[in-house]
Amino acid sequence: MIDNNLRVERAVKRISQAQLAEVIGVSRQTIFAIENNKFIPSTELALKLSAYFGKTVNELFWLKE
Amino acid sequence: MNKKSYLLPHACQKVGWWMLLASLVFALCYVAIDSGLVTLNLRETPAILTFLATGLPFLSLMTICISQERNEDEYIQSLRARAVFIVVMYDFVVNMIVMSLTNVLVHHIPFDEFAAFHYVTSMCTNLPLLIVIYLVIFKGSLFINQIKMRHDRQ
Repeated sequence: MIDNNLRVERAVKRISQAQLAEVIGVSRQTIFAIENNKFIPSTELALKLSAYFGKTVNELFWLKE
Repeated sequence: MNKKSYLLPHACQKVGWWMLLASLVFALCYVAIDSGLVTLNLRETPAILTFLATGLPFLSLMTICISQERNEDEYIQSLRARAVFIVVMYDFVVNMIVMSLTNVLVHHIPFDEFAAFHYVTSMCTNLPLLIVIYLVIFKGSLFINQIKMRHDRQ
Protein backbone atom coordinates (compact mmCIF):
# COMPACT_ATOMS: atom_id res chain seq x y z
CA MET A 1 0.00 0.00 0.00
CA ILE A 2 1.27 3.44 -0.89
CA ASP A 3 0.69 6.53 1.23
CA ASN A 4 1.40 10.15 0.37
CA ASN A 5 1.46 13.61 1.86
CA LEU A 6 0.09 15.41 -1.14
CA ARG A 7 -2.61 17.08 0.94
CA VAL A 8 0.00 18.46 3.36
CA GLU A 9 2.26 19.74 0.59
CA ARG A 10 -0.73 21.31 -1.10
CA ALA A 11 -1.68 23.03 2.16
CA VAL A 12 1.89 24.33 2.53
CA LYS A 13 1.74 25.79 -0.97
CA ARG A 14 -1.81 27.03 -0.31
CA ILE A 15 -3.13 25.66 -3.52
CA SER A 16 -6.52 24.04 -4.08
CA GLN A 17 -7.10 20.63 -5.65
CA ALA A 18 -8.56 22.29 -8.73
CA GLN A 19 -5.55 24.61 -9.11
CA LEU A 20 -3.08 21.75 -8.70
CA ALA A 21 -5.03 19.65 -11.18
CA GLU A 22 -4.89 22.46 -13.72
CA VAL A 23 -1.16 22.99 -13.28
CA ILE A 24 -0.37 19.28 -13.56
CA GLY A 25 -2.86 18.72 -16.38
CA VAL A 26 -5.18 16.18 -14.80
CA SER A 27 -8.74 16.29 -13.48
CA ARG A 28 -9.56 17.36 -9.93
CA GLN A 29 -10.98 13.89 -9.38
CA THR A 30 -7.49 12.46 -9.92
CA ILE A 31 -5.92 14.68 -7.26
CA PHE A 32 -8.76 13.86 -4.88
CA ALA A 33 -8.36 10.12 -5.52
CA ILE A 34 -4.57 10.26 -4.98
CA GLU A 35 -4.92 12.21 -1.72
CA ASN A 36 -7.43 9.67 -0.41
CA ASN A 37 -5.27 6.70 -1.47
CA LYS A 38 -7.95 5.56 -3.90
CA PHE A 39 -5.60 5.75 -6.86
CA ILE A 40 -1.88 5.20 -7.26
CA PRO A 41 -0.50 7.59 -9.87
CA SER A 42 1.73 6.51 -12.73
CA THR A 43 5.46 7.22 -12.56
CA GLU A 44 4.98 10.10 -14.98
CA LEU A 45 2.33 11.76 -12.83
CA ALA A 46 4.30 11.13 -9.62
CA LEU A 47 7.35 12.79 -11.20
CA LYS A 48 5.25 15.76 -12.32
CA LEU A 49 3.84 16.19 -8.81
CA SER A 50 7.23 15.90 -7.14
CA ALA A 51 8.72 18.40 -9.59
CA TYR A 52 5.93 20.84 -8.88
CA PHE A 53 6.39 20.63 -5.10
CA GLY A 54 10.18 20.61 -5.37
CA LYS A 55 10.43 17.28 -3.56
CA THR A 56 11.67 13.85 -4.51
CA VAL A 57 9.10 11.19 -5.36
CA ASN A 58 10.07 9.35 -2.15
CA GLU A 59 9.25 12.40 -0.08
CA LEU A 60 5.78 12.59 -1.62
CA PHE A 61 4.99 8.89 -1.85
CA TRP A 62 6.16 6.01 0.33
CA LEU A 63 5.30 2.41 1.06
CA LYS A 64 3.02 2.04 4.04
CA GLU A 65 4.11 -0.73 6.41
CA MET B 1 4.83 10.80 -23.45
CA ASN B 2 2.04 11.27 -25.96
CA LYS B 3 -0.48 8.49 -25.70
CA LYS B 4 -2.66 7.86 -28.70
CA SER B 5 -6.33 7.92 -27.77
CA TYR B 6 -8.80 5.79 -29.66
CA LEU B 7 -11.74 7.63 -28.15
CA LEU B 8 -13.79 10.30 -29.88
CA PRO B 9 -13.38 13.94 -28.78
CA HIS B 10 -15.37 15.17 -25.79
CA ALA B 11 -17.71 17.19 -28.05
CA CYS B 12 -19.06 13.91 -29.46
CA GLN B 13 -20.36 13.03 -26.00
CA LYS B 14 -22.67 16.05 -26.06
CA VAL B 15 -23.82 15.02 -29.53
CA GLY B 16 -24.49 11.54 -28.14
CA TRP B 17 -26.65 12.87 -25.29
CA TRP B 18 -28.66 15.03 -27.72
CA MET B 19 -29.07 12.02 -30.03
CA LEU B 20 -30.31 9.98 -27.06
CA LEU B 21 -32.83 12.67 -26.17
CA ALA B 22 -34.03 12.80 -29.79
CA SER B 23 -34.26 9.02 -29.94
CA LEU B 24 -36.49 9.02 -26.84
CA VAL B 25 -38.84 11.45 -28.62
CA PHE B 26 -38.81 9.21 -31.70
CA ALA B 27 -39.48 6.19 -29.49
CA LEU B 28 -42.52 7.93 -27.98
CA CYS B 29 -43.76 8.78 -31.50
CA TYR B 30 -43.20 5.17 -32.55
CA VAL B 31 -45.18 3.84 -29.60
CA ALA B 32 -47.96 6.39 -30.18
CA ILE B 33 -48.31 5.48 -33.88
CA ASP B 34 -47.80 1.75 -33.38
CA SER B 35 -50.38 1.49 -30.61
CA GLY B 36 -52.93 3.54 -32.54
CA LEU B 37 -52.99 6.46 -30.12
CA VAL B 38 -52.13 8.75 -33.03
CA THR B 39 -53.60 8.07 -36.46
CA LEU B 40 -51.73 9.48 -39.42
CA ASN B 41 -53.56 7.48 -42.11
CA LEU B 42 -50.49 5.29 -42.56
CA ARG B 43 -50.70 1.63 -43.55
CA GLU B 44 -47.81 0.81 -41.27
CA THR B 45 -45.24 2.57 -39.09
CA PRO B 46 -42.65 4.23 -41.37
CA ALA B 47 -39.37 2.31 -41.56
CA ILE B 48 -37.35 5.46 -40.88
CA LEU B 49 -39.25 5.99 -37.63
CA THR B 50 -38.63 2.37 -36.65
CA PHE B 51 -34.91 2.91 -37.20
CA LEU B 52 -34.90 6.22 -35.32
CA ALA B 53 -36.75 4.69 -32.40
CA THR B 54 -34.70 1.50 -32.14
CA GLY B 55 -31.34 2.04 -33.82
CA LEU B 56 -30.67 5.63 -32.79
CA PRO B 57 -30.68 4.95 -29.01
CA PHE B 58 -28.06 2.26 -29.57
CA LEU B 59 -25.95 4.57 -31.75
CA SER B 60 -26.22 7.45 -29.27
CA LEU B 61 -25.27 5.25 -26.29
CA MET B 62 -22.32 3.90 -28.26
CA THR B 63 -21.23 7.47 -29.11
CA ILE B 64 -21.37 8.44 -25.42
CA CYS B 65 -19.41 5.32 -24.47
CA ILE B 66 -16.54 5.91 -26.85
CA SER B 67 -16.25 9.68 -26.28
CA GLN B 68 -13.61 11.18 -24.04
CA GLU B 69 -14.43 12.92 -20.78
CA ARG B 70 -13.57 16.61 -20.51
CA ASN B 71 -10.26 15.74 -18.89
CA GLU B 72 -9.47 12.18 -19.89
CA ASP B 73 -6.52 11.39 -17.65
CA GLU B 74 -5.11 8.18 -16.20
CA TYR B 75 -7.56 8.06 -13.29
CA ILE B 76 -10.57 8.41 -15.60
CA GLN B 77 -9.04 5.73 -17.81
CA SER B 78 -8.68 3.43 -14.80
CA LEU B 79 -12.38 3.94 -13.98
CA ARG B 80 -13.19 3.21 -17.63
CA ALA B 81 -11.09 0.04 -17.56
CA ARG B 82 -12.77 -1.10 -14.34
CA ALA B 83 -16.22 -0.58 -15.90
CA VAL B 84 -15.20 -2.53 -19.00
CA PHE B 85 -13.86 -5.36 -16.83
CA ILE B 86 -17.10 -5.58 -14.82
CA VAL B 87 -19.19 -5.57 -18.01
CA VAL B 88 -17.10 -8.30 -19.65
CA MET B 89 -17.26 -10.42 -16.51
CA TYR B 90 -21.01 -9.85 -16.31
CA ASP B 91 -21.44 -10.86 -19.94
CA PHE B 92 -19.29 -13.95 -19.50
CA VAL B 93 -20.42 -15.21 -16.10
CA VAL B 94 -24.08 -14.17 -15.90
CA ASN B 95 -24.69 -15.25 -19.48
CA MET B 96 -23.01 -18.57 -18.81
CA ILE B 97 -25.15 -19.20 -15.71
CA VAL B 98 -28.42 -18.03 -17.29
CA MET B 99 -27.84 -19.90 -20.54
CA SER B 100 -26.79 -23.10 -18.79
CA LEU B 101 -29.77 -23.04 -16.47
CA THR B 102 -32.17 -22.20 -19.33
CA ASN B 103 -30.81 -25.01 -21.48
CA VAL B 104 -30.94 -27.59 -18.74
CA LEU B 105 -34.08 -26.57 -16.85
CA VAL B 106 -36.30 -25.13 -19.60
CA HIS B 107 -35.18 -26.70 -22.88
CA HIS B 108 -33.89 -29.90 -21.23
CA ILE B 109 -30.81 -29.99 -23.44
CA PRO B 110 -27.26 -30.56 -22.24
CA PHE B 111 -24.51 -27.99 -22.79
CA ASP B 112 -23.56 -29.27 -26.23
CA GLU B 113 -22.33 -27.51 -29.38
CA PHE B 114 -25.71 -25.95 -30.11
CA ALA B 115 -25.88 -24.55 -26.60
CA ALA B 116 -22.36 -23.20 -26.93
CA PHE B 117 -23.31 -21.46 -30.18
CA HIS B 118 -26.44 -20.11 -28.53
CA TYR B 119 -24.27 -18.86 -25.67
CA VAL B 120 -21.92 -16.96 -27.99
CA THR B 121 -24.77 -15.38 -29.98
CA SER B 122 -26.54 -14.26 -26.82
CA MET B 123 -23.28 -12.73 -25.58
CA CYS B 124 -23.21 -10.61 -28.73
CA THR B 125 -26.91 -9.73 -28.80
CA ASN B 126 -26.62 -8.47 -25.24
CA LEU B 127 -24.52 -5.53 -26.49
CA PRO B 128 -27.10 -2.74 -25.92
CA LEU B 129 -27.64 -3.94 -22.35
CA LEU B 130 -23.88 -4.16 -21.80
CA ILE B 131 -23.45 -0.60 -23.04
CA VAL B 132 -26.09 0.59 -20.57
CA ILE B 133 -24.42 -1.32 -17.71
CA TYR B 134 -21.03 0.12 -18.71
CA LEU B 135 -22.43 3.66 -18.74
CA VAL B 136 -24.15 3.20 -15.37
CA ILE B 137 -20.94 1.90 -13.75
CA PHE B 138 -18.58 4.43 -15.36
CA LYS B 139 -20.77 7.53 -15.08
CA GLY B 140 -21.97 6.34 -11.67
CA SER B 141 -18.41 6.20 -10.30
CA LEU B 142 -17.70 9.67 -11.70
CA PHE B 143 -20.89 10.96 -10.07
CA ILE B 144 -20.06 9.33 -6.70
CA ASN B 145 -16.60 10.91 -6.84
CA GLN B 146 -18.16 14.32 -7.47
CA ILE B 147 -20.36 13.90 -4.38
CA LYS B 148 -17.40 12.78 -2.26
CA MET B 149 -15.37 15.78 -3.43
CA ARG B 150 -18.24 18.09 -2.51
CA HIS B 151 -18.35 16.59 1.00
CA ASP B 152 -14.55 16.83 1.24
CA ARG B 153 -14.69 20.57 0.62
CA GLN B 154 -17.18 21.13 3.45
